[in-house]
Amino acid sequence: MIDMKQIKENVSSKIKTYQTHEESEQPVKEARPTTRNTPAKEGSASIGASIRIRGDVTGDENLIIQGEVDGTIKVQGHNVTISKTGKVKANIEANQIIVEGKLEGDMNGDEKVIIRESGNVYGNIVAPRVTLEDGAMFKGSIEMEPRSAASSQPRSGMNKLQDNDSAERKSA
Amino acid sequence: MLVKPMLAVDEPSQEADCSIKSPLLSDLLGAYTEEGYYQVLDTMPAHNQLIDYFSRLHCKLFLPGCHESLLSLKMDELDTETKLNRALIKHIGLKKQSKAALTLILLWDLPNYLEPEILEALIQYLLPHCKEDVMLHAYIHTREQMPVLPGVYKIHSGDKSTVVSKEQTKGQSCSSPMYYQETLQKLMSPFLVQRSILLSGGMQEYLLQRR
Repeated sequence: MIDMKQIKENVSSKIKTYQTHEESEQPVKEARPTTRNTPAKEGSASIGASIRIRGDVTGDENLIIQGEVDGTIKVQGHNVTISKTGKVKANIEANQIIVEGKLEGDMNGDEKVIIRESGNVYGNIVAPRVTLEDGAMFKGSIEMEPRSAASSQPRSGMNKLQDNDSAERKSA
Repeated sequence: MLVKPMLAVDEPSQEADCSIKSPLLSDLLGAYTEEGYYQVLDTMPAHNQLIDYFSRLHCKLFLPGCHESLLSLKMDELDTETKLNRALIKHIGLKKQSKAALTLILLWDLPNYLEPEILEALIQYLLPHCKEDVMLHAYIHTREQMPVLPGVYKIHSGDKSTVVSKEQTKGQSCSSPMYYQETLQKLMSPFLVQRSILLSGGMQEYLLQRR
């Protein structure tokens, strides 16, 4: 079940954390374990470690998942981070997806998908760029386009899937 | 490209890994262009070098990481065709709805270690998911002895060409099936040997094509 009160508390505490970091001149590595490569300028929503969500998650801001999500996640144009404690069974559509925890589902990243050392992924990826850190576990398929083409034509995940279907039809 | 000679398979290795010359695979992948669309199945565990290597192409990589699980398959436990097929689906994950049209299958030295019936079943299982002219790459041991476990091969980009690195499997050796070309083609039917070359370490590199 969705506990909105706790989500709000998490969001406000996360925003405070970011503000503190921006004000501080010293880089604070330990305080941002789940936000490596995640732009911190915008507000980010956080699903705390004790939260379990069953259903569709949509939004217009970055999302950090420390708890469990079972359903779908769509945050077009924004980033999703599944932190080390995160357990997700969902298809994800986002700009950039970072997995440090467990994911069972497909990922559609408009820009990039990164599976960190602690990441454990069963699913399929469609993205222009995919990074798999040493030690990361991945089972599934990865669909990529040449870097030059991908960088010159940023497109939505759905367009890419349609194009890939047509490419498969051509090759059949 | 820095190429070290491959170590003899019946001599325990002192090195953690080495690069091996794989001319047939290099030629094949060197001919892949940005205009093409390729679907590649690699049975080895997924690694970033492979992803990075293929990121220059429009491609789909199937990375089931099934090398070890395929090795654990035993024919006496999979006495029916259905059981065998289910096991292959479980480990490789290609189903009818996957709509895969494989262009290339990378088996590395796995065929040496699979029971012949399982190798045959694996090929038959993969066929519906392949393009008509799909290519299959494999290394076959030509000496009587081979390492007890298959090597861990990783394909990645060298300075100007394709490099295959192999983590040496230390320890004892075991008898090799020493498949000759005819036997291999029979087990992997309808694949026929297109090119083959003897590598310096006593392994024969094979490139087979579906006919």
